[in-house]
Amino acid sequence: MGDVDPLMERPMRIALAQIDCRLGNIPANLATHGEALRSAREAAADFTLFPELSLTGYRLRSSINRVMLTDDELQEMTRRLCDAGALGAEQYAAFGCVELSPRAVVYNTTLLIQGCAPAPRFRHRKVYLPSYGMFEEERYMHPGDRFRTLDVLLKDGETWRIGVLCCEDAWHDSAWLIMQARGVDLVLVPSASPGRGVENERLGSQQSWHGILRTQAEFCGCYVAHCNRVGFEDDIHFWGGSAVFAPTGEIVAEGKIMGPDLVLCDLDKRVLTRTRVATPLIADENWDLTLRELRLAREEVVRGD
Amino acid sequence: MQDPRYLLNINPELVRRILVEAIRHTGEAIRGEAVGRWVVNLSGGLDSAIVAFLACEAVGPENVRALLLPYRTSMPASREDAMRVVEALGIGYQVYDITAAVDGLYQSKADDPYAANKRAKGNVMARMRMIFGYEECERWNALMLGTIWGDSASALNLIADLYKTQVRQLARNIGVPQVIVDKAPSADLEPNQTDESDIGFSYYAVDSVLVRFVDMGMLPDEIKADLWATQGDLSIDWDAAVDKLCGVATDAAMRPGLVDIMEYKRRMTPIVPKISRATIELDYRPPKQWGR
Repeated sequence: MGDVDPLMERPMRIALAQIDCRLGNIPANLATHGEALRSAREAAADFTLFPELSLTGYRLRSSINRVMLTDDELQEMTRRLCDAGALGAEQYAAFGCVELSPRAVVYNTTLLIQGCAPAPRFRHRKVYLPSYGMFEEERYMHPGDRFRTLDVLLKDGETWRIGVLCCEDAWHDSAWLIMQARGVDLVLVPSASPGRGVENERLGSQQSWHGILRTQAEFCGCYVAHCNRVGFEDDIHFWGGSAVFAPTGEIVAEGKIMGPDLVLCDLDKRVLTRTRVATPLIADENWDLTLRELRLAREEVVRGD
Repeated sequence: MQDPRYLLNINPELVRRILVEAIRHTGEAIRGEAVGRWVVNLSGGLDSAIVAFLACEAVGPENVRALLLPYRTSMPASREDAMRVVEALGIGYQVYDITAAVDGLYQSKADDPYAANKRAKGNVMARMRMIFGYEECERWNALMLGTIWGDSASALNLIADLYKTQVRQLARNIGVPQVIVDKAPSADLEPNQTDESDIGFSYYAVDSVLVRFVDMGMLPDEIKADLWATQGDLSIDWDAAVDKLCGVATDAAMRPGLVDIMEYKRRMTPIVPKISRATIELDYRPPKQWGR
């Protein structure tokens, strides 16, 4: 290590593990996770994000019962993941799995783990399970009931407030509003977004996603890290193109379209500060008004319906 | 939502990448081999030509084999066009005349193949080609690549999520010989038969209606109004096209359209790589007997 200015804040290095998953093949997927984690460690990443349902693959349908995991089994999985990826004690990772709760409720869960600690630091159960058009998640899983954040302390003493919006969650403005209200610094968006819409230069899916994430990064004054899957499952393909959006709305790192990739990006707290001071949208937010008017609007609409 | 006028325009490079990846993935998923082998029945038409081109791009010409399967009444031009594809790609091929096999079926029934019902015999020919294809697959440890709607006899129905006008755009991009791109699509069951004369409308007209009905979820009256307002080609009777394809429903009665009537053919399909916003079976899942 050279001379480091003790006053200069160290950036957080995030790795987006844009992987392909084998449907229902947890051992193969664990190996892929391990490879990505080792690469991320070599690249000195503090945090590695995997796509939605990265341990199992996405379209499990009625075979979901073959890959759902209880808390005990998830802890065992965390241990294996840690071993396979040589995860350092200071390193964090977020991966996707099918969680079976003690009351036998099935969730689409993103688990955040630190080093080899067996208990997860944080879990997000996907709230919005799309069940329209080609999607049928709610047929097989149950929605989560909260959007929370976790304060992650990095090894240099810097704290980042992190939230998770899993795929469809990020298509709900209200979820972002909650993230804003919680003062989030970084929103992790794992996804399994199918590619569709081939009329333009870029896939229709990519255009929609980028429009949403760029806007929300600006509105929330936070970083947004989107890790999207690649590969085929039967008939659908996932387009990758994982990216990090700065609070200015700029894309500061971007992965390949339609191929595995490891996207590295340094996130800088000072950028958050500068953007929030220059454009104090969150500080200016009138939460009392918002909550009052939202409640009123809902009551009136419900009455009107 | 997209403007329906532009939905039929595709970015062929994107489509090409998706479909090439679909071939590789399917070969690996079914056979467990990184590079699968594929058999394509080449009719001389556009669909099978483009599938052969994509297969070569995915796994290399050495892993693609073409079958040319003429019946004695097939147009000689069909075979010439199929050979153009073989030569352009440098793939291995076999020509098997299916006349003896098809006529043999009728002989087994003590029927005269010359007097057979045309539609039944056309279907026997199509299925005989499938049998030849599968026999070749077993012999060569390969999978069968299929082409379009209703043709369920394959491991991978590669271009079923594209409209014909989009297939033409892709074909130009990927280098299918121009004569094949330009020729009138035909089942080649009898001389000078074409799909468009069978349907009574051009593929352009049919696709313009379908993209609004299936992809956009527009109602027949909305489709008519939109087509009359936005399409420059006034030689097409859009009302008749919409009625024929989407059916007619009044307060008094309803008649299902071609889209509804053919629904039973679209199930138990092989894998269809998703391209569009409304893929058969995945997004578009109407009842099989709508209106009946």
